[in-house]
Amino acid sequence: MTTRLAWKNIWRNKIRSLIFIGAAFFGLALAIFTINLMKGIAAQRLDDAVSIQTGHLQVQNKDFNTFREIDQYIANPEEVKDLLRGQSQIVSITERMVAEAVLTTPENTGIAQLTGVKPEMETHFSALKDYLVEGTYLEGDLPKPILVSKKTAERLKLNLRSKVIVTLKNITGEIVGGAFRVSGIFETPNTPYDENNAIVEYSDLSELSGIKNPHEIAVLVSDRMQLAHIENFLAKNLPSAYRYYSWVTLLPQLYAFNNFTEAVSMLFTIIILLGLGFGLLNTMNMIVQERTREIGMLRAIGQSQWSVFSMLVKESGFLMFIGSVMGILLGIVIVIVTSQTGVPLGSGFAALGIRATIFPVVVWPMIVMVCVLATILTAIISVFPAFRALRIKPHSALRDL
Amino acid sequence: MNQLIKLAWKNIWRKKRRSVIAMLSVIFAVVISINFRSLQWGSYDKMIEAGARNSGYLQVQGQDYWEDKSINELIEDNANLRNRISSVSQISSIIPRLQNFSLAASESGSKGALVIGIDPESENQYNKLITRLLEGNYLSKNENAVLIAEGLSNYLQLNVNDTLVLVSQGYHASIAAGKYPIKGIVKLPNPQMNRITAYLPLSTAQAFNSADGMVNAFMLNVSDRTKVEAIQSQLQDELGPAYTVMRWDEMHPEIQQSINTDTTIATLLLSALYLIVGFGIMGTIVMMALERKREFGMLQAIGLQKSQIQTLVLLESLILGMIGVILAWLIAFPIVNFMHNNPIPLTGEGAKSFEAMGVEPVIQFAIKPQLFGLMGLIIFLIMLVASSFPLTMVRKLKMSEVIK
Repeated sequence: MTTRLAWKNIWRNKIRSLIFIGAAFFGLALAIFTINLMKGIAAQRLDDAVSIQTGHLQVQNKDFNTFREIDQYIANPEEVKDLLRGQSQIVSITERMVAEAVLTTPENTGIAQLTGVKPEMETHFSALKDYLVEGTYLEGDLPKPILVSKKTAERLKLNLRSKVIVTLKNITGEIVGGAFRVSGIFETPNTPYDENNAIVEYSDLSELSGIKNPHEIAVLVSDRMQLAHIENFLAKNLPSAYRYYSWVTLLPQLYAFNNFTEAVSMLFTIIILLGLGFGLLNTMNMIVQERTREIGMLRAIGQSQWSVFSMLVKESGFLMFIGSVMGILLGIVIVIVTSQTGVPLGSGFAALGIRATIFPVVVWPMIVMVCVLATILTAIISVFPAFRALRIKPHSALRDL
Repeated sequence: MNQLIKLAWKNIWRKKRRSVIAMLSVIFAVVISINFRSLQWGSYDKMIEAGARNSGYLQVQGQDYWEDKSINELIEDNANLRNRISSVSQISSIIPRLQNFSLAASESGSKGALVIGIDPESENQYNKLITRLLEGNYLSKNENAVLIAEGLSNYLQLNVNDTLVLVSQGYHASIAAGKYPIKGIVKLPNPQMNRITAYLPLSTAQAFNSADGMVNAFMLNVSDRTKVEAIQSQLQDELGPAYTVMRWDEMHPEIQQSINTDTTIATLLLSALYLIVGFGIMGTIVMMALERKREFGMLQAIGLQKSQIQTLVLLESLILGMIGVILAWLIAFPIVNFMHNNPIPLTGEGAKSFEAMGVEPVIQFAIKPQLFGLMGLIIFLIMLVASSFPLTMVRKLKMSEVIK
């Protein structure tokens, strides 16, 4: 009974109700889109960094992350790989050798972290291939191929097939050098990575450095949420000569950016709903004021205080519900459409590793959070005017009739 | 007009609760947005400061240096050039640098290093390098000694008084090699710099690179950071095309891009907030007008022009908005001011991400008067848009119909 009455009441003042619904509709749609876009940016930066640089998780010699010495390699890689292979969530395992090196050409000198990779193991860590602007990945007919970034190539005046001298300190402490030839030039959205990294064949680096074993064993998992499970397993089973690091430790800036987006989404959902709350409060306030007499009448013909109260709460509930459900749906539709078409941000954010086009995805837990917060807030706000209505006394409201 | 203002004022308070709620929503939106943006601007300032510490707010380089960062693109450090630079006003100091990548080695290892030749005195005046000392002493002019960053000293397992070996390619493909006793170890806030940096006195670095009297850049400090673009173009005109003058944001695109990303997201989110609050205000103003159709007719009947009634309606919304904005400023300013003077130090994960960028891990609000102005302007525009409904309504009003 009160439900039907509440529903009809909303449409008695169409303009006012529509304005409120419009506020919730447009405001929430824009907010949902922005928050998902922000999450999309965070996810893209992370996916690229994980794929190109670190993997979701790495096992290293226990001292390597601190000192990064060439002799701090993984003593028994087979043992580590066997442990990892037992984990069903892991989709890819790769071994890498890392060395600090000086790159020299007749034109210029630069320093780089040289990573030796086994191309056949890197198939899932494929993002770098997507970013080749010239040449091919390490396969091809060149002896000792090297991949350098476009930045490095420009600085050292390198072209495809040109020669670069790599100098590093080998396992016995000697400074050794070797000539490599550029087989490919890459340009990732992450400028700092580009400036500091070059990629070679594992066997070529091994020959130069004099070690056989990898410094890192990196893995990718099918679902990032499964990582805790693997970490638990490694905490129990990994020999103490090794340590594991998840992307959280290896990419602290991206982890912080992820947390920042979480916090900002939450905060802004609350702020926007509070803003909406003022609109709702004012609408309900006007309703109670206009209908003092009517409410008095309802009470006089025998409606209980409670049913008047619940009628008003339901009325604000309906208003909020229509507006926010439509707004959230519009937001979701926009996100779904842009997840196909992409949102063009331009190339202005490359130094942060942000791609020129972002494909936001619908983050469902976020949508649920918005709905829950909206419900709680509506309940709190609608109670105030409804309480005021409770104080209306039938006889004084009807006196002037 | 006076009469109309008085009338508008009274009309606002006819429905007290409604007006108060509308004002509260204005206050809410303005206070939140000013605080949020002041917080962000505060962190931008910190990032810019951290970036400029390593590059200066402006830098004078040889024409092609920035593209190649090559040791062959050097400029001569002479009195004539310095005079021409300081002839441009607002440049408060000139800090010479000669940097080159090099292989740094010790008994226990070797590593790529960035060897920076500095004038110890002016460098310290600019970025207080001396306060970063962990061990040993600061460099003095012309001596044959090196200051190395903490990360590099850990990696090479070198302490004060040990010897650092540097090997590189010098000016015009000369071979650069030298042995230097370590005079001190510094901890640099930027983690990457902290891993690779070694400082030599300028003349020692020039000797190392076989580049006597040459530098690769002059870092410049300016007295007013906001004028940096104007100073740049003035200086570029003065120096001509043989030199390149760069701004901090051109040298640190990642800082400018961080600021842009942040600003874009904040703009979108705050737009959503203003959209919602704007609709709420529109609802209030539309209701204020609709309820008073008869009243407007009556006002017209007793001789007011339609334009006067429209002015009245407009005044009502503007006064409503203005009270809200002024109260919001009065609330926001003390908060921003307090958070500016009492920065909150960060700890834990949050602090790490700041440190990873070389930025001091504190939350400190910036005081930007233009933010207060901008938010006021937005409310003013919202009020104008919201008034368009009652203004049209009054225009179409037929006196004879409404006061029947």
